[in-house]
Amino acid sequence: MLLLDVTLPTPAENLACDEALLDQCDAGCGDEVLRFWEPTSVFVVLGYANRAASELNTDTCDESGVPVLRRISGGGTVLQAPGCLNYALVLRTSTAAELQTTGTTNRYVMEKHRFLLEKLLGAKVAIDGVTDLVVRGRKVSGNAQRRRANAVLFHGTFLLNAPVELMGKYLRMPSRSPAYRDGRPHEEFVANLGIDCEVLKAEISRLWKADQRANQWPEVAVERLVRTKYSLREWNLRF
Amino acid sequence: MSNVPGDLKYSKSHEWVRLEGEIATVGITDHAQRELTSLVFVELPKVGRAISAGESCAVVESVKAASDVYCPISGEVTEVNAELANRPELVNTDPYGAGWFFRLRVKDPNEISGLLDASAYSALVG
Repeated sequence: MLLLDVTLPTPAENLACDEALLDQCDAGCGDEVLRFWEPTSVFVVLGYANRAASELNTDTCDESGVPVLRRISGGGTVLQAPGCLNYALVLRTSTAAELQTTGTTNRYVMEKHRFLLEKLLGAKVAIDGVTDLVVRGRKVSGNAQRRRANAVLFHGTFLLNAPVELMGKYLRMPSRSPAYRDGRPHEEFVANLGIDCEVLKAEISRLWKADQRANQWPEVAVERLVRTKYSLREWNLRF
Repeated sequence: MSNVPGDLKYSKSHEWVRLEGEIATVGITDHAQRELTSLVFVELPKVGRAISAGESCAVVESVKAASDVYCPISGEVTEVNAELANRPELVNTDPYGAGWFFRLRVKDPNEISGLLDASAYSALVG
C-alpha cells in the first residue's frame, strides 16, 4: 500500500485530496493508499448530511474567521486544529471480504485501530458510537466512510494534543450522539491521547503495510475539486 | 434471507427497477438496506436531471457512512420520493414500496434487458 504523508496548504485542499484519492482508486487508476495530514489552523468540518445551523455556533465561527467546510463522508461535525492527526485509508472493496459492506468495513478497520491503540497505551480501548475509539469513557478518535462502487474512503482523526477547550465555542451539542456520551459537553466527552504523532503514524503505517512512500497526489483533481466544490458556499453550507 | 420480488429487475450494485411503459421506478434492494442498516439520510437527484446508467445519482447515509447509489437505467428524472427527506427509514421498512427513490422517463427501454432478473440477483446476493 502507498503511504502519502502530505499536508496541503489549505483545509479545502486537504479535504479535496481525500476525495481525489478515492475517485482515482474507484476508477481503477489509483492504488490503495494510507494518507496522513495535520491541520495547521482551526476550522470546522461538517459531515455529509449535517445541517450547519444545528451543529455549529455559526455566528462565532463567522466572527472568529473559522472556516466551515463539508466532507463527503458520513458522521458528525468536528473541529480540526493543530494537535489532530488525520488519516485516510483508500481501499478497494475487492481487497478483503470485510470491505464489501458498510458494517463489516467499520468493524474491520476499527478493530485494527482499537487493538493498535490498546497496545500503544497499555490501557483498555473500546469501540463505541459505531466508529469512535474510547479510552476511559472518552472519545479519542472519530471515523467515517464514503463508499463508491469499487472503493471506500475510511478516514478519521486521532486527538493527540488538540485544543479541546475550543470545541464548545464553535460546535453545538450534536443533533445525534451515542448513548455513551450521556449528555456530556465536548470538553468532558473527548480527550487527547498524548501519543507522539510520528510514533502513531509509524505504527498505523506498519499496521496497514503502507511501505511504499509516495510523494505525488492527484494535484489536478484536487485543484478542480477545490474550485468546484470545497471553496464554495453552495457545497460547504448546502444544508 | 433477502426479499427479491420476481417482477423487478436488478443491478449488480443493488438497485431495483420497475418499468411501466416508459417510466421506471428505482430504489435500493432489501439486501442493500439490510447491509446498510438504519438509514438516517437520503439525497435524491433533482427532477429534470438526465442520468446515464451506472452514474451516481443518489447518496444514502447510515452508521457514519455515506454511500453512492447508482442509476440502473438511463433517463430523465420525472419525480422523486420527497417523503424520504423526513422519513429515510421508509427505505428500511418498505424498500420496494414506500421506500422508492425516484422515477425516470427512460431513454431506451431495451437497456433493461442488461439488468439481472430476480433469480440472477438472488444468486448474486446468496
